[in-house]
Amino acid sequence: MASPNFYEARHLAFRTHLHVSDSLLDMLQQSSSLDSAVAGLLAAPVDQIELPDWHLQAPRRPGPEAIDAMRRELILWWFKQLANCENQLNEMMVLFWHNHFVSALSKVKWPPFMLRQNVMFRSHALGNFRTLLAEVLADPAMLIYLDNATSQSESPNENLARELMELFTLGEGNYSEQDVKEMARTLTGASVSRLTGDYVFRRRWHDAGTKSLLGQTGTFGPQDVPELILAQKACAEFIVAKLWHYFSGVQADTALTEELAATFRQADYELKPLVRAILLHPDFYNYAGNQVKSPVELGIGLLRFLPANDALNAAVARATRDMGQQLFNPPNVKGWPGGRAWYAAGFIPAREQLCLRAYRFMHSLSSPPDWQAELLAVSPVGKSEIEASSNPLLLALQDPAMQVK
Amino acid sequence: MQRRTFLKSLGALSVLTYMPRSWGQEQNADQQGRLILVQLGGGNDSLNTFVPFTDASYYQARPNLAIAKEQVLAITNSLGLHPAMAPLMQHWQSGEMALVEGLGYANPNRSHFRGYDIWHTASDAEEILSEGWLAQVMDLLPMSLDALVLSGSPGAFAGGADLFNLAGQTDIASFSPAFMPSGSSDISSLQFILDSRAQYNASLESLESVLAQAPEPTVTFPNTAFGQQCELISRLITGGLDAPLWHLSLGSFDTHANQADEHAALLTELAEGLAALCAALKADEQWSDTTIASYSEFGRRVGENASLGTDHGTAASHFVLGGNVQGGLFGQRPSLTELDAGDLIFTTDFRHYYKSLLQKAGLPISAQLQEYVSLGF
Repeated sequence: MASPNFYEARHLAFRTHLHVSDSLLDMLQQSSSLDSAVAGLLAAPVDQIELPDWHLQAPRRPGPEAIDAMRRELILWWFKQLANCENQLNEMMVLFWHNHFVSALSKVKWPPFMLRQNVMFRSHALGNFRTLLAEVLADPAMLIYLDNATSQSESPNENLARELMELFTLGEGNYSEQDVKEMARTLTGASVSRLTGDYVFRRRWHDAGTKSLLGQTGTFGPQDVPELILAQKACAEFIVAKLWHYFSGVQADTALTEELAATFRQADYELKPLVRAILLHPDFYNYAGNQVKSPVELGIGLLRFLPANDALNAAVARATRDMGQQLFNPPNVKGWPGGRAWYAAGFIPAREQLCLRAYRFMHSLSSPPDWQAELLAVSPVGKSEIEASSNPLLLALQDPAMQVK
Repeated sequence: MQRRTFLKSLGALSVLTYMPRSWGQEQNADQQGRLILVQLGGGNDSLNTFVPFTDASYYQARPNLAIAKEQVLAITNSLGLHPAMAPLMQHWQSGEMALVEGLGYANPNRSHFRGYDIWHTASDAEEILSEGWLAQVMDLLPMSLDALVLSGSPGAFAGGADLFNLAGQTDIASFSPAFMPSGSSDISSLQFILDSRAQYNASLESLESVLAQAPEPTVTFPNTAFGQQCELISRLITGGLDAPLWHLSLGSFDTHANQADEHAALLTELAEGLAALCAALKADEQWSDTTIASYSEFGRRVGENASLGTDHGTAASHFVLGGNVQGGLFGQRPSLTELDAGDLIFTTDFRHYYKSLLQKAGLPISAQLQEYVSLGF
């Protein structure tokens, strides 16, 4: 067992944090081993958060201006967490679940629903997948986004049933069209109270008949769905492969998928042992620099070098939208495609502009504060190039390597 | 991490000059036209877009969602357009709009994403291909910029070079060149960034000069995202950009619940945007070289669900517009009573449609599509 070297520490830092600082790299390198560095990251407490006072407000029809105000506050609320959170790995997992169990404000409409979903992701981000899945199936934003809230036994709505199996748990090809229909019957009645905005099970809308679903037969209801799903071999495999891809940037092969899925099942679907196995896997350290930063990663990575304030948060929120990632509004139920799609020609100007604006902002401050030294220390550009350059800060921000992690 | 070789020459920070590529001046515009693909994202309900208003089983299957006979814009004695499609009616009447019925493939997949993979790669249902169906066509084109994606998934172009993906952004005037260090990298993601910036810079210079030459449009475009994308296409074409392949997208058409208003609004946005684009291209005498065609990952279930929406289905009809298009009905209308688990059975393989579109637009036919036949529109 040896302390992590600089390259291991840097890779681990970039894949588990939105913002990498010199002090973070020091801390990771001072761990007695990679194992203890990862254990330290996973042991960090979940941040306490403050919520806007409207977060529990029941859905009603206020004027569009009131909704717009809430929507703006909602986005800024998340950017405040992103800019200030201590537990960045948990925040990275919240972003992961937001892009996995997708719901979008454009359809859900009522901002408190999206806020409550985000709070739910926060509590289970590194918790137990079985619990998380059960919470998602009773989440008002999800039930509205995928139309289950109006599904009734007579011609049920298939939207949630299908995407639950295709995109959330099993993967395309691991269920039949008959399973979609039977899952839709099973989920009928899982709805949202118009009065309170809470989950409600509408017994009269539920199809109480016998279903033949995923190889099992019974009078299943929504509460049976997590176990029916987890009984499928494909579920653990699907989730571990997606998380491996999230952290490593590459597809897992069959052997690795089975290895991680075994870990996941053994841990009874606890997420921390799985994430630990991924972050300690020797292959993981082969992929430094292979991921294009998402707009949020690029934006928050820079923002956290600057003195925090609401105006800067709002500016970065707008920039991420122009770079193609408007939080709370993924483009469709599969989420943002990510990867190299983040660097489509139409997004390049906004990415470049963000880096230039960060430079101008830093440059405009009279004396070079610590963050300048810190940015240069973690910059993708080597120290010798920095020393040779007449404008090291601009060099670091415009380097192509700033775009990847 | 390995050293990146390009950094060694990265002392100075000047934006390096680059060579704008020629824009295919050797091309003969009389022979080669352009194809504008319109993605109806989410799975358009073509039964409510092209309404079989004399078929009693249509009204039985959709007691709440069917478009009433009195409302449809009849184009034949048994088929009518959704009223929101009114702006395109003149093209049907002038014989510049074809409708291809029953498009699909065997063993249809009802997943949005697998569905799009199949449509984008022109594969069979069980076949996994990595290249988009237009990548091979792009290989056969001598242009310096083959394809412009205004919006939507660029999947049909996957693996093809010389693509500019605007990803929904339309304000090209606000774009500036990207910083371009010299050298190269042996890390593929960094080389990808460098290549992307180089291509972006080269294309941007050309796009800006084209836009500077574009005449002011004589047509007013709708102030919607789709309308603005149509306007940008019009400006680029009338300014002289000769890219043969174009893509734009609208949606979501994934109308599982409360479909009626949402679908009407989407079709309005679609028809108004395209009608303006058609008018602008006509005014600039670009219309006879233009073929506009819709596609979607699937159609929707024949029967409505209890949320006043429709679930994922299979076969669908799509429209083709263009000055050179033979108007009328093509393909074959699927039965509304002989169904596959509640879904239409396709009559016309979508790859016949693809081949016909390439032929109509005067574009090379890829090896993949050789065996298919022209539908004659």
